Amino acid sequence: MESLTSKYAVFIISNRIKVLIATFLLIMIAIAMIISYPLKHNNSNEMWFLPGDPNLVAFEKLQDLFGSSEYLIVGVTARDKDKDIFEYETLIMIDEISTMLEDHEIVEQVRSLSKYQRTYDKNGMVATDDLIEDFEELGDDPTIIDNARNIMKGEELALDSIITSDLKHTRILARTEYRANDNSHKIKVVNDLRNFIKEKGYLDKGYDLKLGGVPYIGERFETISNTEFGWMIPTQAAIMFIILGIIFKSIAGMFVPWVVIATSAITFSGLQAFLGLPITVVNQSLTPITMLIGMATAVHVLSEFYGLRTAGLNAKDASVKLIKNLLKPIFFTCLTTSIGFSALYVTKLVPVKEFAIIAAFIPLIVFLFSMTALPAALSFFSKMPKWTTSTFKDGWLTKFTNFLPDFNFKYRKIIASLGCVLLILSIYGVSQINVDTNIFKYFRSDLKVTKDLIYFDNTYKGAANVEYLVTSEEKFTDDGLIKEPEFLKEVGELEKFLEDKPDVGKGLTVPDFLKQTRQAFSGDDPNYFILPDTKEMTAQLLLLYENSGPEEDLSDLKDFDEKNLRMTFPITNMDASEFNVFVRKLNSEIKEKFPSLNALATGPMVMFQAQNEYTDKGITSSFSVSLLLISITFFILFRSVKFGAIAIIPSVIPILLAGGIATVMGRDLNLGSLIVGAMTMGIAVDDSIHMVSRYRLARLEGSNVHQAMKRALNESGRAIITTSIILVIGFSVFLMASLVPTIDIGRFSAIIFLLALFGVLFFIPSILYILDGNKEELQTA
Amino acid sequence: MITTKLLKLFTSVLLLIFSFSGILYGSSALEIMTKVDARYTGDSAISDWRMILIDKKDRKRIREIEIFSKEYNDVDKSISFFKSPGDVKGTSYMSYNWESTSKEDDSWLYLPALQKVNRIASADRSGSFMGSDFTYSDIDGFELEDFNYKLVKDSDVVDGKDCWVIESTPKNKNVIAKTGYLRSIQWVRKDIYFVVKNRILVKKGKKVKLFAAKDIQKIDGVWTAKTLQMITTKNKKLVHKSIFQLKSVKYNSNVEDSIFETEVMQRGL
Repeated sequence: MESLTSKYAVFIISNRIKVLIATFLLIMIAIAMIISYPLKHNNSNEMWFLPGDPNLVAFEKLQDLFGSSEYLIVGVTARDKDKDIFEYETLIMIDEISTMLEDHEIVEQVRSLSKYQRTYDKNGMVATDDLIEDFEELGDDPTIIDNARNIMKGEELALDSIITSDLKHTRILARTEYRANDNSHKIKVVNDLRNFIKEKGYLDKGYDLKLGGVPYIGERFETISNTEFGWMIPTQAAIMFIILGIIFKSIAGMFVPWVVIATSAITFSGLQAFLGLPITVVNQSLTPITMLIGMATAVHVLSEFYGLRTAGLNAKDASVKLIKNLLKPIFFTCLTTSIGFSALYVTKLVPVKEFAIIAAFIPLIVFLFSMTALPAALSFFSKMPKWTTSTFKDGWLTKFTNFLPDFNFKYRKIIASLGCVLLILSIYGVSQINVDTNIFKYFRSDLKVTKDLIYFDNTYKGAANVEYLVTSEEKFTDDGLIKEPEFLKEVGELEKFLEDKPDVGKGLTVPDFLKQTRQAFSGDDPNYFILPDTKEMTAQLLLLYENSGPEEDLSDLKDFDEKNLRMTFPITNMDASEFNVFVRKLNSEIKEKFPSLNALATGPMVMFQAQNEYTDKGITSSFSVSLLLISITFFILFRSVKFGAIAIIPSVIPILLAGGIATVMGRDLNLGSLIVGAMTMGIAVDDSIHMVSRYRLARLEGSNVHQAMKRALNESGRAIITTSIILVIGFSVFLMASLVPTIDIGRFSAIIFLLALFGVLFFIPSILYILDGNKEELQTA
Repeated sequence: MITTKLLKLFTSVLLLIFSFSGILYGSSALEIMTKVDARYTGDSAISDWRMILIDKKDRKRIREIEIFSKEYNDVDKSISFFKSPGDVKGTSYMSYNWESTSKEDDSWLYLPALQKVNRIASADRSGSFMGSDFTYSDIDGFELEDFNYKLVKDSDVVDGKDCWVIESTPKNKNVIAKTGYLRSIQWVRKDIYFVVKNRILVKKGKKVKLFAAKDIQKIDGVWTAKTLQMITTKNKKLVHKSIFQLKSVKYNSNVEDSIFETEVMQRGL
C-alpha cells in the first residue's frame, strides 16, 4: 500500500503538466455539459414526492378533477380613517387589482367583492347580479356603496370567506394555473402583482395590503433563497480569502485552494446537468457546501505543503511527500463526507434524494482534484515566502499546537470525564429533540411574508386551506352522484361537522350554492335555504344557476362528471406534527360518522405538512445510516474497534448535543437540520480521521504516545484548527439569511464544528493518553 | 328572447354582428354586413339541438333541446324544452325579445322538480349561456351600428370558400360592457354572406374565443350551419369548448302563437 501511494505521488508530480491539462479538459467537458443540458429550477410543491406516494396521488386526483387548487390571495384592510372597506377608493382598488389578476395570463378565476355575484329574488324574478354593476358610476351615486354594504351583511356565502363580518377586511382570491414541477409562473404573477400595487401607489394612499397563498409562499421562498445565495457565497469567499491570508501569509495560500473549489463546483454542476437534476431549494446549498469541503481539504494540503517546505523540502519533493502523507486520510475524509451525504438518500423526499446523489459526488470530486491538480499546481511554487516560514516555525498556531499535548496529558482525566458527561448529556439531548416545523417558521419573524401569513391566520382562521375531495363509492354508484339528495345531505352535515371544529374556518361548497339558488327560486324565503329534495331538483337548480350566467361556474367545486365534490376549509396554523395528527383524527372521525362518504384530505397544505413529516423521519433514519456506515469505515480505516470508537465519538457528540441544545432553546429541527445532520456527520469526522491517522502513523513509525500525540497535533492540528475556523465563520454567514432552514444550517453547523474542534483537540488526545499509553510511556511523558 | 336569438344564432344571425369600412368588389364593409344582416333566416322554426360541453381534458357533457321560435313585428318569441339528460327533462325556458330597446326582455324558467314557473331577470349579456362558451350576446346578436369595421384582407379561404376578413371594434365602452368583447376578426363567405369563422378578444380575463360554423346547408331556402363551435382559450391554451349540433330543423312551419305561454311550460308539449 505504501509503495503504491509513493508510486502514485511520484507519478502525479512527474506528470504535473499533463495532470493540469487533464484537469483543464475535465472542466471543459463539465462546462460543455452545462451548456448542452442547461440546469432548470424546480421548487414546485409536488417535486418533493416520489411517484405513487399517496399524498401525491391524492393531490394529482384533485388537480385532475377540479383543476388548480393554488390561490394567490390579496388581503385588504379598511384604513383607520375609514368605517369599513366600503369606501370609494377602496372598492376601486379592489376592482383594479381583481381585473389585473383576472387578465393575468396564469390566473384562471378571481373571487373578490368586485366580482361577487348573488342569486336572489328580484321583485319576483330570479336574478344573478353583480354586487356592484358599474364601478364607473360608483363615484356619482353614493347609494351604490350603501346598498353593497347592506347586501354583504346578509350574504352567508361571502361572510368570513371573502369578507369578514365586521366588514373591515376583505380578500381577493386568484386561482392560478397549475403547472406540474414548475414555480416560475408563480414568481411571475406575484412580481406582476407587486409591481402593479407599486405603480398604482396603493401603499401611499394608506393601504396595508397583505399577500398570501401558495404562489406567494413559493415566490418568496425561491426569490429570497436566490437573493441570499447571491450575496452569501461571495461573502463566504471573501471571509475565506481573509482567513487564508492570515493563516498562510502567502498569495499562493490565498488563491490555490480556489483551484480545488472552482474545479469541483464546475464539475458537480456539469454532472448535475448531465443527470438532468433540477436546481431546487435543497440543492441550492451545494455551492457553499462545495466551497467549504473544498476549502477544508485544500487547507490540509496547503498546511502539509508549507510544513514540509518549512522543514526544508523543495516544492516538488514537498508535493510528492504531501500526497504520500495525505492520500489515505483525505481519501477517507472525503469518503466519510460522501457517505454522510449518501445517507440522505434514505428519505422519502425526492429533492433530498437528488441532493444526496450530487452531494455524495462532491467530496469525491474534491478528493480527485486535491490529490492531483492541487499538488501538481503547488509543485510549481518554488519560492517560499518568509512570512509563511516564520508563521509555520513559531507562529501563534504553532505555539498553540505545541502547547496542547502537555495540557491534554496533564488534564487528561478531567477532560475525559468532561467528555463522558457531555456524552451522557448528548444522549439525553437526543431524547428531547423535537423534529417539527410549520410554514410560519420557514421565514424570519420580522419578514413581511411571515406577518402576512399571521394576518390571514388570525383574520380568516387559516392562512392555508385543506381540501376535501368527497365522493361515495359505497352507496352511490350512479352517474351524477353529487345530485343525490342523500349524498348532499351527508356532505352538508360533514361541512357543519368540520366548521364546528375550533381550528377550522368557513368552507366553500356546492351545497351552499344549491341552498342559495333554491332560496332565490322560492321568493328568497329563508325557510328554503335548504338542500334539494330530489336528484332532479338538484340538476335543475344547477341548470338554473348556470343559465343565470354567473361568473362563478362551480367547476372548481364539482367535477365535470358530477361524481366528486371539493370542499375547501381554512385551518389555523399549527406545527406539522400537530397538523398531521389533527387531519388524521378528522379523517378517522369522518370515517366513523360518515361511513358512506369517501373524504380524502389533500391540497398544497397537506402536501407541505406531509413533506415535513417525511423530513422528520428522514432526520432520524439518515443520521442512523450515516453513523453506521461511517463507523464501519472507521473500523476499516484504523483496523481497530478501539481507535474507530475513539475517533467517531467526538464527532457524534457535537451533533447530538447541538440537537439537544436546539430543543432546549425551543427550536424545532427542520429540513435545514436534516441536511446539517448528514453533512456535519461527514465533515466533523474529517478532523478525527486526520488526527488519529497521523497519530497512528507516528505510532507505527515507533513513536511513543506522547511523541505521536505531539506530531499529530503539530502536523494535523494546524490544518484542523484552520479548517474549523473557516467552517465556523463560513457557516456563520448563513445566520444573516432570511429563510429559517438556511439560518439553522448556519447555526447548527457552526456549533457542531466548534464542538467537534474541541473534541479533536482535547478529548481525543486525552482518551488516547488514557487508553493507548502504558504506564511507562506515560511516566516518560 | 334568449331562445329566439339562439335560433337566430343557429341560423347564423349571430354572425350578422359586424360590418366594416373599406371597399371591396364595390361594397363597403358595412354594406356587406348589412347584407349579412338582411339575409333571410325564416319567420319561424322548430329545431332540435344537441349541446356538447367539453372541458380542457376532453370530457364531454351532452344536453338536448327542442326549440320553437317565431318572429313578430315587435317581438321575437322562443320556447325551449330540455329533452335530456333525464334529470332536467321537462325543464323549459321561454323568452320574449322585444324590438324596442326601451322595453326590457322577458324570460321565464320552469323547473318540473319544483313545479314552478319563475320569471328570470335579464342576465349580464356577456355572461355564459347555459354553461356554454356562447354568451347571451352571441345568442342575441349585436347591433350593427355599435361597431367600427375595417377590412383586413380581401380574400382568404375557409373550408374551400372565399371569404372577406373583417375586423370590428366596439364604438364605445357601453358596447364593450354589453358584449364583453374588445375586438373581433371574422371571415364572411362571399357567396352567401355568411360568417363562418370568428376570432374574438374577450375583455374579461383576456381570453380569446374562436368561433366556427360548419356543415353549412340550404334548408327550406335558409342557409343554415348544422354545427356551431365556440372554443375559449387563454394564453393559447384551451379553457373550454362548446359545440351545438343541429339534429333537425323545419323553417316556416306552423308554430302556434299559444305555445309561447307559461302554461305550456308547465304542461309540456
